[in-house]
Amino acid sequence: MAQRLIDLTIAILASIVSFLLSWPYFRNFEYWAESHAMWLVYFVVGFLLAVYVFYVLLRITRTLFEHDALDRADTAAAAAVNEPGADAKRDTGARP
Amino acid sequence: MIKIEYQTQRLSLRFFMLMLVLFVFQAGFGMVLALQQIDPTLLAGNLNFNVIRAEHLNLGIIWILCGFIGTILFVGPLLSHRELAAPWLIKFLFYAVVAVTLWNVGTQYLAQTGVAGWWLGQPMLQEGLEYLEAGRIADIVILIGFCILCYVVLRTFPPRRDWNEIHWALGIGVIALTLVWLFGFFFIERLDLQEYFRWYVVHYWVEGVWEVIHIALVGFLLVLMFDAKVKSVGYAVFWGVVLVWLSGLLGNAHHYFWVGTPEFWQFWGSLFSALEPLPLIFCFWHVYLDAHHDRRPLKNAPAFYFILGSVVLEQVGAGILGFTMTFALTNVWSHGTWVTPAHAHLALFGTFGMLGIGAAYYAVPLMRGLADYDQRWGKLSFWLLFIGMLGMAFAFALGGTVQVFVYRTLGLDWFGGDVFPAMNLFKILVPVFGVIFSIGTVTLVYDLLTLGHRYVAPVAELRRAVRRDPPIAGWGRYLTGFEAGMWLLAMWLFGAVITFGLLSFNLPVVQAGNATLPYLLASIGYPGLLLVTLLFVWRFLASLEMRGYEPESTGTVLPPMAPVVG
Repeated sequence: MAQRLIDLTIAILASIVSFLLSWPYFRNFEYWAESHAMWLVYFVVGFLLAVYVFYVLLRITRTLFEHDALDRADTAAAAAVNEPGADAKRDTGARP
Repeated sequence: MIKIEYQTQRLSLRFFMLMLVLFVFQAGFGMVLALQQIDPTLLAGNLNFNVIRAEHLNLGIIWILCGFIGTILFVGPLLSHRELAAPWLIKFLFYAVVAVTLWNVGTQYLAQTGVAGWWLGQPMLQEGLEYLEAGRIADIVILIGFCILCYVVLRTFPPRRDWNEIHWALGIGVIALTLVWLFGFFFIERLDLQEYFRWYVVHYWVEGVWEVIHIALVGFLLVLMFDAKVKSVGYAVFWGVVLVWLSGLLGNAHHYFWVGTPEFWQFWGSLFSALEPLPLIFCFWHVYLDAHHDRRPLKNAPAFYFILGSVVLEQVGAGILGFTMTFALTNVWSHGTWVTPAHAHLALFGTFGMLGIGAAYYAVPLMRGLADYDQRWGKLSFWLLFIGMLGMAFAFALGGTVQVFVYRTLGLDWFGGDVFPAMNLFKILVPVFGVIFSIGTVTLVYDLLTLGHRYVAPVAELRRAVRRDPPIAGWGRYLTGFEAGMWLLAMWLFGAVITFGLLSFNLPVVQAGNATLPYLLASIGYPGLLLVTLLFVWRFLASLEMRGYEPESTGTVLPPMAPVVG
């Protein structure tokens, strides 16, 4: 849980930086001149999607490293019992 | 090294060879362009700058597509455990690619003479859109070619219930390649609307489709080279594709900023462009982990050199340099200046070109029946191309910074020649590094064309000749995840410096004529980024090369796990 909160916090901070860099303060928002609500929706949706993308990146990168640790453990175990684990036929994933 | 398992894999060879021929022409055109920047009268009236530039861009797309097709045809049977479907269609596809390429060259003559070939309101012979010069007839032939590729890939693949993530990514990639091409069939007189469709093709290919194919092919080549687990690679491929689409589909909007499209794109285009480097960071870690899956020596060093170059330049050229200039606030200065080709050259050649070359280095020796081969030429060509391209990016970026200041900020007139002398040094540096790149091109083509056809001393003998049993320390020591993370961080820090440099053009003091801040930040940021990139790749490859000297290089000794990054 703590890890999730840390990831979410980092994602929000990164999104704020991206958001500030992207804020069109040099524009007068004239495209939806009669609807500031549309601009607000635009900003909120953009920000939330940015948080989601950053959060996903953090979570999946962590999992990628966990997969690697498991693979390494398997390889080491195979080598320890002198099995040809590392030299196994290439596994391309599809059934022959 | 494995042997060719399926005879139809050999059909990929002709595409790799065509790729090399077109690459030579593209690099040659690039050299002429660089020289014409110095002397605009060079070949004027015969081969004008705009014509050569159009060919340089078009061939850049075509040879990279040849590399993709060659790689897909090579790995298709391995992914499917059976021969490629409809080999005769693949042969037809090859001749269609040759015909379209020749037509593309001819199109430039039509463009010069103003012949579009209008029929039924459509430009049948040439349409004059940047990157999409060929007319509707060529468009139809290209569409047929993509349909053939889709058919061959999907018919070759096993039943869908047996697909893993790599099958899905490659399958979706080739279908999307075809569908996105359909946007090239729109010809609209209103330029702002036309630009949507033009960019749908050009940049949905690059940022949406090619990236997906790239992820799939890199993943599978790593499976072949390092015996990486398909399950782990599949996970990376799946999330890589998801991240590419979450960021790239809207991020593409940074191309809509200044063509009269609604201004809300300036916010979403900026924000989602900022997210586009995220899949590239993820892709880098996936490659790092697979390459460090065990500690066995590199069997085919040139192939991996180019694949690593592809992933690192994707990070630097597409990711970092792309990031620096895609916010509306920086893009307003950099758009259409020399700052852009610094990004474009590294991103296009680096990401996609190097992948095709890496795949060719993997496939060609197998198809020529070489159990092992002299890899020194391949390594040399990699370093020449890599250094040449980094150098050109350096010259483009700094020349572009000068150009932005004198041309955009001070408002001096390009045609009045005020900009020209200010950029002189960098105009000279482009062909200087271009020569290094060209030598690398010749070396690469010579090596790949003659592999297996020229005498080389037995590899064991060559290894003995160069083996000095160096101590496994310094640059050759094991590259941990933590250290790789530090290199990556350093690259991004320099990227931040470059971003602030481009942002500083908005400051009133700069607009009043004081260039100190943008020049200072650019002269720290660009050389720093490119130097760190060079050193990092050197460090990465040195650590892998050293595996050949390790007594325990059998995959049994594993280093301690690097800390989880995130």
